[in-house]
Amino acid sequence: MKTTAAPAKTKTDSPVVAALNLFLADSYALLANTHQAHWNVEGPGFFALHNAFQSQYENLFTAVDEIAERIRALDAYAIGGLRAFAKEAGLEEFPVGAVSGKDYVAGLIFAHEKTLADATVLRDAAGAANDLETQDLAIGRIQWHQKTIWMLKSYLKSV
Amino acid sequence: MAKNFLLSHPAAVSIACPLNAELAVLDQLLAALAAPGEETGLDLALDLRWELMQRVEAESVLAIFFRLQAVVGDRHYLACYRLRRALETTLRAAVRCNRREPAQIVTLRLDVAHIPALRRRIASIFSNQEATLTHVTFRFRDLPVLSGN
Repeated sequence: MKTTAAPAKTKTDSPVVAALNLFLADSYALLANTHQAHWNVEGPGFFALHNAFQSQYENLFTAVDEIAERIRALDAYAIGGLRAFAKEAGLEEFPVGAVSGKDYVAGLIFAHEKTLADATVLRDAAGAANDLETQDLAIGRIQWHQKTIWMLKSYLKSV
Repeated sequence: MAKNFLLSHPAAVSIACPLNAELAVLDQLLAALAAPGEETGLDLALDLRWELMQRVEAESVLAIFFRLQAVVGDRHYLACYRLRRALETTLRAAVRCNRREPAQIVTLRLDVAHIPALRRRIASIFSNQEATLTHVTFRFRDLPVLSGN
């Protein structure tokens, strides 16, 4: 049965695999930042933010596995290790110590926006390579990041 | 080839610099402050932009930033946060604990309300050192950082 995917671009320097690995790094680094926010958030809105951050990092934990296994399905290797993820992603990290809930939310919006931008690049790279399966994965993640950004921004609005 | 594709993509600008330089961030806030009822904030943001362009008086930058944050921070929290993080990258404190020693350069955390609070936070870092005087001045980044707060 013929699939819609082009013959797999199995080299790690293919645009699709490079974009997948960057997106993997972003997602893992964002997971770590979200997890730290979940642990350390304090003050008004604690329960709402603590639970929201948990829901977000749980989603990201599932997602990084899907992204990495997609890389493997393309017969390439996924990057790994905290140092490699942090360096590749380049996301700002939260300081150790007290950080306001609003600052956690604002910082995570930053990180989601950067991750979303890289997911967009992945989507377009996959489309250009006629890799509709990877493109589908990217589109799903784009939708989730867009929704999460909307929810985080809503928290910051003063009404 | 893969990196060329990635860097040429329209989204690559945000990939390279997700927090933006302080002027670009400030311009985004200025666009939001062009609405009716935001005249005070707009004036402060324009003053801040002027000071940042001059890059002479770091303490003036901080003073105006804190006033701007007080006026518009509730309505424009995300923009103020971006601006705060950009300024934390740009500005440093020079701390002299006694006249015989050279100043130590430290990074800033600007999640405070005004300059006196910032000075107290910085002074508290050095409170365990033998100091006759903790003198804090602010400057634009141009020296290696020795410690942070």
